[in-house]
Amino acid sequence: MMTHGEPSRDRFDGFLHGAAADEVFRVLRDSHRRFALYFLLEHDSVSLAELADVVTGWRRANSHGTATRADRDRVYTLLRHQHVPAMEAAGLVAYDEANDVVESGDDAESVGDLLRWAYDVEFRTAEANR
Amino acid sequence: MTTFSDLIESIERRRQTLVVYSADEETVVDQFDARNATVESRRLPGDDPPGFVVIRDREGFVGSIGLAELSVLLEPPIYRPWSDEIDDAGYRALFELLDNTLFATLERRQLLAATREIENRAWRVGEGALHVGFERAGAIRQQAPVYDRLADETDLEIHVYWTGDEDVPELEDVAYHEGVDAVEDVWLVAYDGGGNDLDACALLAEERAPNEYYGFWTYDSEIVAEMFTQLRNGDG
Repeated sequence: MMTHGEPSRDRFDGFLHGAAADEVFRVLRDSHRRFALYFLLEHDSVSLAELADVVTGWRRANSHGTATRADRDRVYTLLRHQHVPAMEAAGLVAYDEANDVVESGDDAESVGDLLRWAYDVEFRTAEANR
Repeated sequence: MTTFSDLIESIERRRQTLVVYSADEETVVDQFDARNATVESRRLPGDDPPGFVVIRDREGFVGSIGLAELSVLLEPPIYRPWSDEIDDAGYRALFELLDNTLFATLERRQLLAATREIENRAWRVGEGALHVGFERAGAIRQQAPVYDRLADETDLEIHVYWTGDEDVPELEDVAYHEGVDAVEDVWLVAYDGGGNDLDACALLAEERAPNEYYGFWTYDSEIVAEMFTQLRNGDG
């Protein structure tokens, strides 16, 4: 388990409300986006190509499977055209297209606890289903 | 003339990268001792996420597999060639993902599992040529019931090679090639796909120490064709 205890109320106060909350939860409802954000909990930056490898391999590993090049290319396209723009709009990642670098966005830190908590819940559930 | 050792060396030159994503420093990947692969590690957050490995070649992503699934290959279940369980997508993918990976320390059980996967393809297609090289006549005796049934129930053209001149069980509809020195200390199974390149597959491994094999399996029809050529040459 990651150390988080109860999510700190103080930190959420004044941030996750109204439209901002809707946007963050909309981002988090998709597992491609969650896994991308989880990876950025551990790494400062990642290329979009590697992020596609990671999201593909990790989502499949989480559901007991293998992935092919075609699976990965599909994920790359989805990330590039849908998921990265959605995470960028919510301020959770920043994508520098010229240098092909994805990193945490300005608002990512304020949802760090939420993300870690989601991560624990997601993998504890995966473990229990084994 | 190229030999089976040359063929193994040519696989050794096909470089690939295994990127291991895990929260752990050491993983099951270390136990496979892949000789033509560079192993890199990237950390995942937390304590115990399901790790995975991404296989990359010069063109990028080749495939990925969960570390838990990969560990099945350490001691794989052995099915018979006609078993439906081999046709399970997950089981087959294990072999497909790691084709053309050169392993330094394969054990008999692992080779037998890979052999069964190849024989299963031959069984399902039901025609084409299946060539099998045995290190010892004793191994032929052990596998005789399998080849008897394959010969009996399919239109496969089956060729069996071994190095010595000991007596082996006579099987109907199986072509024997004895005294083939090229297969000494070599475990070899090659299926031409019965006219479909996508079903061509083979396994080639040298026993370099007792129960320690150095080799690979492949689904590359060109490499399979090369093995057929060498078998013909070796049979003189």
